[in-house]
Amino acid sequence: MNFAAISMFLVVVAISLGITHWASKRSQSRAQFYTADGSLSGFKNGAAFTGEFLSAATFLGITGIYFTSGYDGLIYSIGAAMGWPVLVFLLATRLRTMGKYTLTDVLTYRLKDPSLRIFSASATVIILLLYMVAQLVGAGLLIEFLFGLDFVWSLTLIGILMIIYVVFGGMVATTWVQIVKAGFLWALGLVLAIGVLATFDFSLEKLLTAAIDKHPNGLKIMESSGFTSVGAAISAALTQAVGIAGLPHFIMRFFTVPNVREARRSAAYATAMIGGFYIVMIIIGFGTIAILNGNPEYAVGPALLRNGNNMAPLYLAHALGGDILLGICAATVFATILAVVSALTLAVAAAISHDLYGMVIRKGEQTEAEELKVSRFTALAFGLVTIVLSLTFKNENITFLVVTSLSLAASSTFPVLFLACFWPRLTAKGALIGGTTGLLCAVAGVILGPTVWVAIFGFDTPIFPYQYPTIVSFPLAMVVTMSVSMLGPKTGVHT
Amino acid sequence: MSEESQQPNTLPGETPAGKTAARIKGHLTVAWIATAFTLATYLLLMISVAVKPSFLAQTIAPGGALTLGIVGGVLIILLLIGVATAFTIWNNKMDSDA
Repeated sequence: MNFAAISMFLVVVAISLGITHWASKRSQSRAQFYTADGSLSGFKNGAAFTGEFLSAATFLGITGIYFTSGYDGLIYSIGAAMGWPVLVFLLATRLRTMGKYTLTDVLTYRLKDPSLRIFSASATVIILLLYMVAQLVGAGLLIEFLFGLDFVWSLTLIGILMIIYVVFGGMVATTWVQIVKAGFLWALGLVLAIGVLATFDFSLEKLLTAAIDKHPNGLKIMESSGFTSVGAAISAALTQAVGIAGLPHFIMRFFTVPNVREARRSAAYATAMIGGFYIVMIIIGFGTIAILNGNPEYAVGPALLRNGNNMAPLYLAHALGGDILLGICAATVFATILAVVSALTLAVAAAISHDLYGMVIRKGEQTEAEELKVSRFTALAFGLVTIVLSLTFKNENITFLVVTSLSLAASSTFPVLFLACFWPRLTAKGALIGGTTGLLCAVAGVILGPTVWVAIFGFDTPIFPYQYPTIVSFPLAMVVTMSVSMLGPKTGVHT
Repeated sequence: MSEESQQPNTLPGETPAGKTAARIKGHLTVAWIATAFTLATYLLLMISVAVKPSFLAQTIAPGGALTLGIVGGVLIILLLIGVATAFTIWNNKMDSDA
C-alpha cells in the first residue's frame, strides 16, 4: 500500500467513471448502446481503435517479453502491428457496406441463414472469453500489487467496476474511455522512454550495452529465442496477420463512424498510432532489462521480477519516477483494462442478446428494452465466468494468452468473414461447417499444445507441438468452407 | 431484400455497372498488392528468426550494440505506417472523384 500511488490511481478511475456516467445519459437507443450511433470522426475512432488495441496485454505483456528475453519483444510488437494490413487494405471498405452492428450481421447480410447466427455468436463468446481472461489476469495482478489485496478480491473488485461500465455506458462510454486512455498511454510511454534514455545519457548504444551486461543471457538477448522452428514461426505470423481481423469487438468498431472514408481513415490512424507506440516500446523494453535487473527492490532472481514479469513496466515507472509515476502508470493500465474488458463484454452481450436472443429465439420480435435487458444480464454472467477462469491462468504471460485467442479468431471468424467479403461462391452451409471445423480444431490445438497441456495440466510434453495452432486450423477452415460451398448447389451470392 | 435481388452475382459493395465495377476492381488489385507486400516483409522476418536467429543479432557497427534486427524492425513498422497512410489517402481520393 502506498498513498501517492493509490491517490493517483483513484483519481484516474474516478475520471473514467465520470465519463461513463456522462455517456450513459446519451446512450438511450440500441444503436447508441452498441455502436455510438455511427457518429465518430475517423481520428477519434482511430484513437479508440488504438486504445482498444494497446491493451494491458500489449503494454504489460510485451514489456514483460522484452524483460524476459529481449529481442522477442520487438518480434511480438511487429506481429501485433501486422494485423492491420488486412484490416486497412482489404476489410475496412468491404465491412462498411455490409451489416449493422456485429460480425453476425455482416455474415447474415450475405448468407441468409439463421443458423449462422448461432455459429458466429458462439465463436464470438469463445474467442473473447480467452481474450478477456488475458486482460483480467493483468488487472488482477495490478490491483493485487497496488492495494496488497488478494488476487481473488482484486478480480472481484474489477468485475464489479467492469459491469458498472458496461451496464450503464454502452459503446459511447467505452469509446470515450478508449480515446482518453490512448492519449494517456502514449504520454506515459513517452515519459518512460525519455526517462530511460536520460538514465543512459540519451545514448541507445549505452542503453543496449547496459541491457546486455545486466541480463543473465548476455548477448543472446539480441537474438530471437521464441521461435524454434519454421513451422512455429509461420504459425505465429499467420495468427497475428489474420487473427485481429477476426476479433468481433474490432469489427464492431468499423460501424462507429459515419461512412467508408472515415472507416478507412480510422484504421490508418490506428496503424500509425499503434506502430509508433511499438517503436517507443523498444526503449522501454530494453530499459526494463538495464534498470530492473539486479535491483533487489524489483527482481527476485535473474530475469525474474517479484509478482511475475508482467509487472515490468510498473516497476520501471517506479524506478524512474517514484510513487507518483507508479500511480499514474498503474491507473493508466487499469483504465486500459477496464475499457478493453468493457468493449469485450459489450461484444459478447451483443452476440447473445442481439444475435441469439433477438434474431434466433425471438425472431426479431423482441422490443429494444427486452434486448437491452438480456444484454445486461449477459454482461453480468460473462464477467463472472471470466473472473473464475482468470484464476487458472494467473501465471501465464498475458501476451501469449492474447495471441492464443487470436489463433481461434484466425481459424473461425476470420476465414468465414474473409470469404463472405471476397468469394462470391460462399454458401451458408460452407461457412457454418468450415468455421465450426476451424474453431474446434484450433481449440483442440490450444488445449493439446504447450499453453494448456503443459502449463496448466502439467504434462511433460505437448501433444500438439506449436504454441499457436493456426498453421493447421486456418488452412483447414478455408479448405473445408470452400469445399462444402463448391459441393453445394450453384446458387450465386445470395443463397 | 428487393435491393439485393436486383444485384445477382455481385458481392456487397460492388455495383454491376461497367465503369464503376472496373474502378473497384482496380482498387482491389492495389489493396491486394499492399497487403501482400507488407505481410511478405513480416513473413521474411519470421522465417529469418526461425532459421538463423544470429543473423539479425549482428551489430550495425563493429563494437557497437545496435543490431540489424532492431533497425530492421523499426523500418518494417515505419514501412507499414507509410503504406497504410498512402493507400488510405489514395483510396479516399479515388472515392471522392467517383
